[in-house]
Order: sequence, then C-alpha cells, then structure tokens
Amino acid sequence: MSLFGLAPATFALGALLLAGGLALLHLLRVRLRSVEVDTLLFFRLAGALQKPRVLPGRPARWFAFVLALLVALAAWLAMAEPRSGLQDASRFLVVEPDQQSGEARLEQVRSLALAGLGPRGAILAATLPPTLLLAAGEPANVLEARAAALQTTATALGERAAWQSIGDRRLAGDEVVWLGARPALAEFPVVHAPVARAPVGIVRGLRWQRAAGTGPSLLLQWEGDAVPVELRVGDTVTAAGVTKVGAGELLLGPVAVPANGAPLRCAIGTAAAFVVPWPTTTPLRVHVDPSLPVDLTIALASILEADEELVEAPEATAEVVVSAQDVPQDARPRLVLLAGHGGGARLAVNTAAAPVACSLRDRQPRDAGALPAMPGARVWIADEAQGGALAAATSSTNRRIWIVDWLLRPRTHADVPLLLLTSLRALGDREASSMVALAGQPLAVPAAFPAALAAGALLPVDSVLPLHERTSAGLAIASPVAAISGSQPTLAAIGGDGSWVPWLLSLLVLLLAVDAMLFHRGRLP
Amino acid sequence: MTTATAAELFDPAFLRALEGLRILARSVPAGGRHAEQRSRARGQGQEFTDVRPYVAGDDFRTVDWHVFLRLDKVFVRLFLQDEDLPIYFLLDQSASMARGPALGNAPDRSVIARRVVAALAYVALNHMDRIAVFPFASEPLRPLPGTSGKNGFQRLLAYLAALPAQGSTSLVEALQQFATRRLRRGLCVLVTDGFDPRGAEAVQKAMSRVPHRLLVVRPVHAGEERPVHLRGELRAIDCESGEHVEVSVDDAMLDRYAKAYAEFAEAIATVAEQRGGGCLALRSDQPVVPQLATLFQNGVIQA
Repeated sequence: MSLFGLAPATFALGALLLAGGLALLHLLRVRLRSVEVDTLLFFRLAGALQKPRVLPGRPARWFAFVLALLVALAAWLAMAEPRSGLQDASRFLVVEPDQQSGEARLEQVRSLALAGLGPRGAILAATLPPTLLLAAGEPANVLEARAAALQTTATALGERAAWQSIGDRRLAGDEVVWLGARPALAEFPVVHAPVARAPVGIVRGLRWQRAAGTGPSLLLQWEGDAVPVELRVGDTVTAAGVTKVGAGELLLGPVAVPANGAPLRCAIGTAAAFVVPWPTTTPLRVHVDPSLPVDLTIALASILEADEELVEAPEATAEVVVSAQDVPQDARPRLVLLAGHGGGARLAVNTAAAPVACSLRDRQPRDAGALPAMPGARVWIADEAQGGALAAATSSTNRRIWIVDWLLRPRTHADVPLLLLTSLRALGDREASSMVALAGQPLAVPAAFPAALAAGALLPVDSVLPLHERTSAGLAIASPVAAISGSQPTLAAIGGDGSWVPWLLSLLVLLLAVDAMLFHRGRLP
Repeated sequence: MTTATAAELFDPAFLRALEGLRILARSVPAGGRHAEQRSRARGQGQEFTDVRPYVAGDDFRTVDWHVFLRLDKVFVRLFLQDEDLPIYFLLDQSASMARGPALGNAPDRSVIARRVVAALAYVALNHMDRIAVFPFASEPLRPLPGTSGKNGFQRLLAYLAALPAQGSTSLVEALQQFATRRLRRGLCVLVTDGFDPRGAEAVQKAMSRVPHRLLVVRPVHAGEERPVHLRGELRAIDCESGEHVEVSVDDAMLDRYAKAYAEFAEAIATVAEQRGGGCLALRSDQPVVPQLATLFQNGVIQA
C-alpha cells in the first residue's frame, strides 16, 4: 500500500487524531445503567409512546452529536483540499479546438498557462460539453494530453456552455480569454481574444547522421509545407545538398566541420533557424553491463543506435559503463541504475541545480523506492513527496550518475531515452544535445528573424528553445501524448475526473448517517 | 425470600392502637357461627324482629306470654341471629413485594402487607369474626385455613412471619382461583402492589369476578409513582422475571411513567370501590395504623 495524498508522517498524525476523536466518541456514547426495578409495567406503558432513542427526537448527548458532526465535516473538508487566496484574480481560457492551427494554438495556450491561471482559473475547450484542459493547480503537461485527446470540434453551443460553466467561478477582476479564429459570442464579456497564428510546420527531429567516407549530415524531420532549407557555417551559406530520404525527412549535407568551430545554423525557410551543435569527432564508447535487465538493455541499445555520438563498446575499451552496481575501484564514469529502497508516494521533480526536461509530473508511483543516502552526491532529480534523491550525480574522481530504476519505467516512456541520453552525454563530457528539444515544437515566424540571422545575433527565444527551459518534455523519440494518461476531467464535477474519492466520501457520509440512525434507534451499543 | 419474626411485625403499641376498631358488616349471609355480626337469619340474637304463631318444636323459651294472656293464642318471638363475618386475606408474596424503597430505609412491601393483614385480622378476631389467609406469588402458597378467636392471632402471626416472598406476581390467576373457591360470602382483603405484568385491565377483570366485598390495600414506597432516581440511560431489569428494557429516563419519560402509574392506581381503586370495599395506598415510610385508620370511619369499616 502506498499513500499519495498524504505524507506518511501526516497520515500517522491524522490517524492518531482520528483514533483520539473516535475514542472520545466511544467514551461519550450512551452507557446503560443496569437497575433492578419492581416492575417493567409502567416503563412499557410509558415507553410504548417513545423508545429510548428514536428519530425524530433530540439527541440524548448533544456534545457527542456535535463531535461526530465535526469529525465528519473535518474529514470532508480535508479531502476537499481547501486553499487560501481563492479571491485573488484568476484567468479563464476558453479555447476553440481547431485541427488546422491546433499545435500553434496549443503552444499559445501553454504559454498562457505557464503564466499562471490564478487560484480558480481553468482552461476549457469550447466543446459540447465543455472539456477541461487544465485546472488551477494542475501541472501544465497534462494540457497536451487532454488537448490531444479532443476529438470534437468547437460549436457555438459548446462555447456558450463553456462560458456558462466558468460563470459561477468568475469573480470581479478575473481575466477571461477567448482563443479562437472567430470572435467570441457577443453576450459574454471577453477581456482578451488573441488569435493564434497558423504554424508553418513542425520540426519532428533534427540529428546528425554519419556516412562512411563523408562528413556528417543533418537529418531533418519536417512536417509542414515545402520550405527552402539553408545551412550556414558562421555567415557563410554552405553548399550542402538537400536530399529527400523519406516522408517528411530531409538529409542536409554532408557538412564539413570548420576548424575554427564556427556555429552551424539551420534555417527552414523564413520560419525558424537553429544553432546546431557540431557532432563530436570521436563517438563516446559506452559499455552496457549484461547484468542489466533485458528490456533496459534494449532501450540502451536503441539510444546508442539513434545517437551518432554514442557507440557501444566492450567493457575493456569503454569510456562510460552502464551497470546495475557501482564498482568503486573503477575510475571510469559509470551510470548506475539502482532499484531504490523504501516505499510510499513519490513525486519526482527536477532540482534547480541541474534541471532536465522530463515529464516528471506524471511519474508519481504509489509505492516506489528512492536512492540511498550518498554523501557528496549532487541531487539531480528529487522526490518532492518524501525527500531524498531519485537521480544523483557526483563529479569527483569517480564520476557517477545514479538513477533509481522506476524512473526508467515503463521502458517506452518518453523520459527513458532522455534520462539515459543526458546521463551518458554528461558522463562522457559531451554537450547535451539541444536538438531533441526542438522536436514537436510549433514554429512561428519571428518578424525580425531574417535580419537577426544576417547579423549573426542571437536567435529569438521562441525559435530556439534550450532543453532546460522547458517544463514539459518535448521529445524526439516519443510523443509527449504517450507520457500522459488521457483522463478527461470536468469542471468542478464530483467524480468527473475519474477519482473515486468523492464517491467514497459520499459513501462515508451515508454510512455515518446510517450509523447515527441505528445508534439513535438503540440498535448499536 | 423475606421472613420476619412476629415481634418485627407487631409490637404491643401496635396492638393497643388497634383497640376500638371494628369491622362491621352491613349484613352477613346466613350459615356462619354465632358471633357479633348481624345476619339476615332469625335466631337467638339480642335484637327482636318479629313474632309468629307457635308451631310444634319451637323453643318454649321464645313464647311471648304477654300475647298469650291477652289473645289466648301462642306466639313465639323472633330475634336476628348474630353471626361471624368471614374475612379472606389475599396476600401478595411475590418478589416485588420483598423490595424496599429505592431511597430511605422504610420496610419492604411484604412487611407492610403482613402488618396490614395482622392488623385487620386482629380487629376481626377481637370481634369473633373468622379469617383465612391465602398468600400467593407465581402460584398459590400454603394458605392459613379459617381461624377465629383471639387465640388464633398468635397462630396467624407465626404463619405470617414464616411466609416467604419470592417469585413473580400472578395476581390475575390468584384472583381467578380465589373466585372459584366455594366460600361463604364475606370480605376479601387484597394486599398487593398490583404489579401483574398483564396490566391493570386484566387485574380489573379478575377483581370484578371475586364474589366478595373487596378491600384493596396497596403498600407503596415513597416516590415510586415518579422514580426520579432512575433518571438517565437505563437498562431496567424486572426483579421478578429478569426481563429488561432499555430506556432513556428524562422528564418527559418520568411524566409518562407517572401518568401510567396514576392510571393504573385509579383503575385498581375504581374496581375496589365498585366491589364495595375501597382501596388504600399504604405508604411504607409512614406508620401503618394511622393509615389503616382512615379506612375506619368512627372506628368501623362498613364491609
């Protein structure tokens, strides 16, 4: 059994308080005094009109009743997760689902969501019935999964229903935003109604490929209109060829690596440009210990095959070793995948010191272990629920990265290649690939882009997104949708998010009522 | 079981207080022994009632010689026959009678009841009346057969002192069985708390079938009509049957209890009045004789 909603100490304290309250209730319960009487005749004659405890009638013990009521209300209130500051200004977004501009609009919604929804805010899709995409307090990465699961299109009825559903929650000072191509319905006061720009296309992937006898080439996976692609080394446009190798895949190059290390920029039409790190000249030799689980070995092999800068090597010649156990006497950098220890709820979060773009918010196992205490190690991914480290690294003589095994489950999860790739590159002193960060991101057209590119200035932030600045994973290997369970909660509806808790609490209240009724009728001691 | 010595039941002061009291029957049926109660029978009493012509076999001592001299016919004088009054005591000796008051140290109902029986029997025996005691609990106990004369009083006391008080109250059966006895009409003194579980209606019905004048004496404890000491959550256990009920005793419950008790007492008293005897609720915390004396108007019970 694991506890997710409460920390163990909190649960224990609450259990003690409940036990104390129930003990007090038990003490306050009616205790019958046995008395021998001359006859029951008159009690029966009098009691025929009213039984000892019967409804309707005032309780025999008011204090016991009030206490029981308080216990029930306290439990109910606790499960309702009350918050302070609900009167603060909030933001409500109503999104018009649009298949044509879905990705761009999703990015727009995401950016607004990251700006904060306030204590009561929400993002709804104007479907019928309205679909809650994100509620206040929820992690932003669920937005993508819920948006991807939307099958219906927007209707005026859906928009009206969405406005009405947020009408009860809205207070003066709240911001209501309509995100749609058409104007919002006139009868609803919309504060702001921006329209998302249609994307030019989407970069699904950008990585180096090597071919024997030639320089490296860039494999661009592009989804969108046909656009001219240009590679520049420094300020010079290269003469690299563009070869269409598959549906939406272009091979750019080969490109000669300059001796001065001038940056390589890839421009896709006028839509966007990227600074592409040069591939390392010598691949990093990685040895995967055969004692690792087979499925993890397969995942590692896939990574080594996909990344041209990594290559599998025997243990004797390897620069980095991946194993299930640490070998202290081996000075080589080592990635150690441990099973972890302890139990309870875990909430994996990046630490500020060394963030990595994992969709960790959905990695909340009910019962999982953590890394043992490692003096001197730097926590990479922390367990917010109970403390402790889930991934840690040390940069001492023996460079090590430890990752708790459940962070790499399921093996098909989008985090798995990201964590492994980042770890292996860090252990091998290779630059973390920023290419993967670009995948899946919609590309808007920055107005000042051509001039900026020509001047060699820094690219706009919304065109090149470093990996560590993202809060949700944009992954090249797996769709982010796969990382999120596709639940569809409704706004402020009991049980609408699939949780049984409200229903169980309702059952609890019902049971308490039945208990009270039986108690008052004298059926319970 | 509750027994008491004769000294506990009676003392000389108690007896002296009973002097001067008398149970006087309005009329007694014929067939009794010569005593002090006026009967309808013609006989050798003191009170002249009529004359009739002499017939063979009449006692010459009853011939009215003045009439013979004046009319030259022989008449005999007739007198009312003085006979005894049979008094039957139905004495409840169930377990509830053996219980004392919840508060205070008054004697239990059984002691009070036996004192009542002894007191009334003393008065009766002093006037040559005949008494019999029929104790009962869950079933009839060994009775004291007809006794008369002052000498019988000591026997009565010994008998009463040895009576146990135990078992449940079968007042209805006791009355029914008593009603079927072929006894000379007289006065029936029922001494009971009346706590038959079948309720007042059944008791009323059984009382109405008793073919005697009926005097009911109910020993009661102070406060039993409204048992405030039972206030609270209670498992009330019947002292006789062991049955119990769970009850929350509050003011409202006490009010209903008192109402039921009053209705019960009223029902018993009504039947007793109809049967010509009357009803007395005798408080256990007060002297017996002064309370009994309220039954005697000018020292006489008109039975």
